Amino acid sequence: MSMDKVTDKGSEGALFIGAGVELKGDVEVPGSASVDGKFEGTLKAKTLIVGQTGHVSGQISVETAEIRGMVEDHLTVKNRLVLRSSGSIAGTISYSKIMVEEGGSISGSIEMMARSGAAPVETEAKVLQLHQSAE
Amino acid sequence: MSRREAGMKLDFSTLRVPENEEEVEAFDWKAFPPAIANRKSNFFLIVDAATGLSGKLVTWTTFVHGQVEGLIFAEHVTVEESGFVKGLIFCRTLTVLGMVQADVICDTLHVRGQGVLTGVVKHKQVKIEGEGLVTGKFARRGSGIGGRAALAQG
Repeated sequence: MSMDKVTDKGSEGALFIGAGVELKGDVEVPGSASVDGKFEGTLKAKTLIVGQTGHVSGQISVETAEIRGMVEDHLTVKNRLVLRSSGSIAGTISYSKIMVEEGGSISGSIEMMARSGAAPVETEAKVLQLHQSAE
Repeated sequence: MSRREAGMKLDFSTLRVPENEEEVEAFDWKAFPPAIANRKSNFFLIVDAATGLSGKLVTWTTFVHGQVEGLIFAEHVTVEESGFVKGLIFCRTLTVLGMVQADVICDTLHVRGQGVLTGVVKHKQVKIEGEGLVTGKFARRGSGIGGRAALAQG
């Protein structure tokens, strides 16, 4: 591999926490944070990937997330959150898009973030007033 | 048992939504009167897009294309793309393709297509796909909270 390629990959720094490794603290990752071990603290990253053995807790803010392990406390995903069948999220969750596979566990307070550049999502139905129309 | 006999013998008067987690977990869907009526048949209710209901809807399987405000008490509930439900849903399976602004107690929740669900949800299993959106408070059943009283507490 040439140095250029190494530099290209390194331009978006990545973090990998392997199985059996525990890390506590505040971490900012320009690229992808992959957790198969345990992380506790504040994490900002472009992408969060939590493996089946991974456990993440604290204040987590990312662009996209794919969860196969466990995430607790506060999770903010500005773009797409994918919860796989083995994954579990508990706490306060904010997302723009979400996909939950059957078997995935989700509990806590869930809110949707406004999608940047997208038309506002219609969450209020155009409802007939049943009581008024019936009387 | 004929449909007429089944309909005549069913007693809905004592049917009520479970009030607490023990009652939810103990609820026997096999003894659910509409389910009994469906042992030999496949009755279902369609609330069409031109229909609005307000009150308590008890049935075995329902497909909601229109609007329901109040309680839906059914084994299987599908809120179709044009459907809107506001209130409380107690069921085994809930599929949302339309809009639900309700508190939900169910075994399985499936949000599909552009389905939108807002409320307090007690579930055993959840699946969200497509452009489905959910907001509110979610809790897995069996985690120490559940039932209508728990929904009221938020």
